[in-house]
Amino acid sequence: MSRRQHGLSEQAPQWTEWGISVLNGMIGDYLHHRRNGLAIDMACYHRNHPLPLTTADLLRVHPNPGATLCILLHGLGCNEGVWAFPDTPPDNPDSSYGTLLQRELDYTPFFLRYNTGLPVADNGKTLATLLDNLLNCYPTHVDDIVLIGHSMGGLVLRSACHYGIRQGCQWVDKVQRVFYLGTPHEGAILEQLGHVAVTVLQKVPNPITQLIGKILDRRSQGVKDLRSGSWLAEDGLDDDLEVGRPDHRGAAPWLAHARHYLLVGTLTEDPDHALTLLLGDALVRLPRAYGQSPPAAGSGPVPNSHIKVFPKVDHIRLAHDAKVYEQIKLWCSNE
Amino acid sequence: MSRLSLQQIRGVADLIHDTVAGSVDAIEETHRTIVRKPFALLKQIDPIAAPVRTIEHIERNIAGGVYQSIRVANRLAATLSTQVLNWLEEAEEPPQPQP
Repeated sequence: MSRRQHGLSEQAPQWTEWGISVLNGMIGDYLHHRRNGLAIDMACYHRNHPLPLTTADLLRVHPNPGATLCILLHGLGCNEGVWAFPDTPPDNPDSSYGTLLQRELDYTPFFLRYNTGLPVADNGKTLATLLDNLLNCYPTHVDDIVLIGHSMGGLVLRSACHYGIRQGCQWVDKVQRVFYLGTPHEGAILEQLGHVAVTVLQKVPNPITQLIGKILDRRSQGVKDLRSGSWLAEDGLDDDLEVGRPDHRGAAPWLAHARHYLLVGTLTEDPDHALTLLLGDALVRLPRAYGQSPPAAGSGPVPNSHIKVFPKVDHIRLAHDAKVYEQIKLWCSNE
Repeated sequence: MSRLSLQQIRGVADLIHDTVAGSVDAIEETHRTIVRKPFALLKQIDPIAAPVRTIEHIERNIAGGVYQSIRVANRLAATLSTQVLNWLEEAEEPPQPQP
């Protein structure tokens, strides 16, 4: 049964919200700088509306707040609707990883929506502040924070942890586990190909191809950040990366005290299939660390036991797949 | 179907205005780059250089006029949509309580 049949159109993002989210992914930095009314401000969302960070509002949404927070962050061009299992009404307790974790492990979930076209570092800084505000008005004591990021959301989480430490945010110490679902820590193949295409188009001495290259180059900084998985803007290096200009921005250390888990999908049953080696889950390839013991240099503190590959689960489905949820729950319960 | 807020409708109107303005600039620049070469080549042939100059002048004026009229229409549409949205916003505001 569709959501409209349930009469829940106000509770889940509809086509207009999806359209705005896609637009933010494509040109969100432009919308933000122009102060356009379509630019999304980062916020926790509940039933398709931003949730004010006050104790009263948190109690209204979560009358029995738990001691473990679960923060879910979507990926490029998406919104919190990406977490919904297909054909499940949003009020159903089994409608997403967040609501399932609430029912089965007593976690308190918060779904964020943000402008994915902004630089990853900017979103990381905003998220660090938002989580600090959330903790300040949370009705009870918080023991533990679990972070779950899909695709670009994982990069924003890493960035937020880095800036959280820099800003002395108290929430960072409470982060125990971070789950990255299809996160392009080593860059996304599609943006790498897009970058090459734009460079070639702009180099061809033809006004039409140069015009097409110029239009393609207007894609958001958030998209461009996916090229190398760079999500850290050091002072003075926040500028738009020009085509052909080397990326001076880099990766900060992974949050040292937390456990990190990579959940990745593949297009084929066999992870060694040529198509999977080339395209991964259609957008993000398998991490270099996968299958290597000891882990590859630069792959971060993620042992092979913390990497799980889901055959024939594409990039978007990683955000709402029963097997992926079972693995998250297993890691949350056992470790 | 969920409704767009007035703020979002304003955003759509602004985006359409920006897109048209940016597109006209980019297309005009590309147009001028394309026509510049054949005119430059033809002007090097002495017997036809004078009429080619005249044709180039006419072409530049006509094309420039067309691009300029699109810009003006775009600005007018933006002003009009802003005005309509302001009226709608005022109409949506709750009436002030009487003293």
